[in-house]
Amino acid sequence: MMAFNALRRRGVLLSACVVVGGLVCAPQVRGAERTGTVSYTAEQAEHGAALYKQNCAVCHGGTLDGAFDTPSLRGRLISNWSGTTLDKVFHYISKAMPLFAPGSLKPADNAAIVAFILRENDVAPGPRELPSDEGALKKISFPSVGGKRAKKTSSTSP
Amino acid sequence: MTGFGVESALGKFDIVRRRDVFAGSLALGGLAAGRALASDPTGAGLPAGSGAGAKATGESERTALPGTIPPLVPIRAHVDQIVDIKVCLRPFRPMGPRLDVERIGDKLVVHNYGHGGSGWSLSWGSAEIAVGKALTALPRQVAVIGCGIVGLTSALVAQRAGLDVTIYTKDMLPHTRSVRANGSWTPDSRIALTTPAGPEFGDLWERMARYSWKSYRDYLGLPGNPIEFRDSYILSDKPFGSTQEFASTGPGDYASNGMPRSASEFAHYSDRIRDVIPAAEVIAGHDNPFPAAYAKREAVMIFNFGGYGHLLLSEFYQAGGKVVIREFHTPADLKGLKEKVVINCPGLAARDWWSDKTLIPVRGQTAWLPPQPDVKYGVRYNGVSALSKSDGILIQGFNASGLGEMDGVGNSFEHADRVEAENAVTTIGGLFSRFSPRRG
Repeated sequence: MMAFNALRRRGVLLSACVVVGGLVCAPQVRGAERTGTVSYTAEQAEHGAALYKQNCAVCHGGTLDGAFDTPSLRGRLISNWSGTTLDKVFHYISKAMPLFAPGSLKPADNAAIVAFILRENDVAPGPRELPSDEGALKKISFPSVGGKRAKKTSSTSP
Repeated sequence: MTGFGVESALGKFDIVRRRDVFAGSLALGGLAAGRALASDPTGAGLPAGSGAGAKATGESERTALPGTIPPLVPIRAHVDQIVDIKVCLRPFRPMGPRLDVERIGDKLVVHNYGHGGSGWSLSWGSAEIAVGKALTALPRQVAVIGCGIVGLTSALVAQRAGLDVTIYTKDMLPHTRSVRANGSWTPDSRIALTTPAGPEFGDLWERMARYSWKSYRDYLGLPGNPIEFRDSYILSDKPFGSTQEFASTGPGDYASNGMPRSASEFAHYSDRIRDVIPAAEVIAGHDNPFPAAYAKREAVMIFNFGGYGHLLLSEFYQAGGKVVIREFHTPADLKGLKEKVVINCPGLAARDWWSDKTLIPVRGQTAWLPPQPDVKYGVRYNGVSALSKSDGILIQGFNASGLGEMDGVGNSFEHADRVEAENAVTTIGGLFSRFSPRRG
């Protein structure tokens, strides 16, 4: 019990640290074995942004905040997918999205959309493109980073 | 300072535009009603909303179908029937509610306070945003500080997101400032000042308002009517549509004084969501049962404090929530909490415990008469609103000072003003003394 609590505490601390520090702690996702580093290119995310606008924004909104009946792709998205590997979210999007034409996008397009979502959740781009095959994505943990970084303050800043 | 003196407003508060109809519902928010008066009848020149829906600006108002005014039991409004006078200080922030995230020691603090006269109305949408931010830290448990309507709603939203939730609070619902509100849908009542809030806040507001509006629909039609719609009749002795100017309380504005000086500084966003908010309809003279020459009717969503508050608390407990009675004095007091993620919903108390000097108290007062279940409507007349709720007839002078939304700004006198209450009750009593029920 003690150990479990300690682990839970650690998990929270690590995640909080991630939120504050951005990517620094990203690989240390609670409960997930780190198997690969997330990387996507800025161009890929830009392509994803265009695809998002065309295929996703109608439901998830221009700012990814969702609506009453549509999940937000920020905030909750992190807790929904953290602890999994990126193939899971890629597979889901590939199979189920866009809702009005599921499975209609090409693998490279779906990878670009994932890259865009990562960017919008404050994951910084890297040197390599995000792969579009599930085998490679299976080796990459869903990064645990917050949509909004907390300010490092010890006193009030209204 | 106190700005009492209902009589000054009586007789000049008779202009109501369609748009303020719902906004002017009475929440502590209802004090909001005053603001509507300041603008022109078409709504032109209002802060631009994104979403003008089908009910476009400038569209002429529809006249109610003949025969749709039901028989109306008169409201019995007499000074000797007052059972309670409630005073509330709205937690107003010129830049809009605080929803940012701060790190204090090993705690991640997500703020959710400062909703002015719109706390009840925006509670679900605001909680959704706060909980979304809390979730990015992947907590299994969260602490919610405060058990007013924003705290309790945040706690429920967190539970629905799968978290274990403990509410830490000084007081429970009957004692929180939230239940001293008016309890009507007034989502942009003293929610912000236009300039300090900036243009982006409108989008955030719209998101919160739409989310809340939908959330509340889940609580309609339940036993005890925790949430319900009431017809509200807006009455005037003069034609609607004239312009009323509000006085300033001094030179300059918020930027130069740190306090707003004029009702015109307050932000309004309700046009953005009027595609889902029932519009007011004009009541033709021969259908008008009231002793006022001009009348409109609008459907207003209201919150019955008792039924709704107990329901939310029951849901919270049933989902395993815990309440700890505890007072916090400085952010350092967070250190003792076992939870690492905290959703901070103290309302006006943030001024003290979080030293948030941006909070400005805005005083509002409601008088309560015994419940009159046969009365199923509300009225607004001469700057006073009356509304039949499950826990009593609420009567509120919402423009006592003639200052519109400036009424009560900076006034933290949280004690009942009997004279103000009696003046408001007398206005409604006078209206119904001339009311002819058979015309209804």
